[in-house]
Amino acid sequence: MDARLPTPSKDVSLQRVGQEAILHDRRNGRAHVINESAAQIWELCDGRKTLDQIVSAFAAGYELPTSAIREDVEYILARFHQLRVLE
Amino acid sequence: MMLLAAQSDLAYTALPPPTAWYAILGVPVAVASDVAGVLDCVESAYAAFRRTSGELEQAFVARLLRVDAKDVYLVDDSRGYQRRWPDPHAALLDLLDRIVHGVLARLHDQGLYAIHAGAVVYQSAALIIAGSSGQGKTTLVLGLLRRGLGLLSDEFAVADPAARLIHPYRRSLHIRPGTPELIPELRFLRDRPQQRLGGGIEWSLTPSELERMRPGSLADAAPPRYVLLLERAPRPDAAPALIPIPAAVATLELLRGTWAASVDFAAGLARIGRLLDGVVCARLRAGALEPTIDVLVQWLEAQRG
Repeated sequence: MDARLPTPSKDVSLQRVGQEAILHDRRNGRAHVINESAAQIWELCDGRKTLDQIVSAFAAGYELPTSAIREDVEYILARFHQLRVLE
Repeated sequence: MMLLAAQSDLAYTALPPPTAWYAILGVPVAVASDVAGVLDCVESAYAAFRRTSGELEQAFVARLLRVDAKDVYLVDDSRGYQRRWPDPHAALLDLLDRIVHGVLARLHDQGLYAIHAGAVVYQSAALIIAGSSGQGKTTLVLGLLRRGLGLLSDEFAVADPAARLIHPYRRSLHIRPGTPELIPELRFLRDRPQQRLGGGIEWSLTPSELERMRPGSLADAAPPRYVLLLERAPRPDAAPALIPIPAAVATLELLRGTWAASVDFAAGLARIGRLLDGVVCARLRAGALEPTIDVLVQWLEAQRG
């Protein structure tokens, strides 16, 4: 798997609930509550988009310059890696 | 009927044991026992679901039988469960547990989730009150009924995610010592013998008794709009407090309180998650009963606005 193309684990599913969402990892039964922004970033991680493309797509949704949100997106992706929900 | 156990060592082979029939949320249940008092105890919990007869082939069957007149008691059920007990009270608690498990399994098959929580209705919308045993769900529910809310259950919030409804579950309320001191209408219970129904010494209050006590207090199914998670047992010397929490957190906590989560957590997460979409959720640090009810009613009023 290309590390530059963030890819969700096949065993992890996203369930939106109200203003938040839950990532459920079937491998270990763990569930992580994430906010709406993190859920949007998760959905942009489709294994085909690069980090730059994810940042651009996310920024476009809020009509913000990519420079304003790049650090936040990188932080969220790093957290996803820490939680081992990305391949 | 499925053969429930090897019958050669059972004392009742000449005569079938007395059997009581119930339809619990549409699930036909037969409970059989040849041990004195057992069916009376089951009846005290499930009186509202009583039926005069039923079909064994369709029913969930649970039995508590004395084996060969020895001090050995067998609990078994039509899902293949079997366990022997040296003492009849432990066997009775196991039988009550088997009935619950059997019903929950059938409900799950029908797409219904029984969440370990109380549920009441406020202004046509359901409030789910989740907490561990002993954290005061029943007392809180009774306190809210005194303020005009309607009862769905003090034990299981039976959720139908497809219809987005919480159904009434008319098992008798289990009242612990101390509660009649807080709910004056229940003081008559102190003249009744106590039962040990699991989780402590209790009295049973049937739905019809509750209806006589507070007419109009049995509510119909309602859509969920509020969830309360009890953070701890009430502290009468502390001020009550409500802390808003995300619905996603409430979803996980409610799901942990379902039998279904042990069967298919992912499916339960999707269904309970959809059920709680748009629902207002909070943690409750309960204080003394009346101030806690005041805070809750104010919170409910504020959410309506």
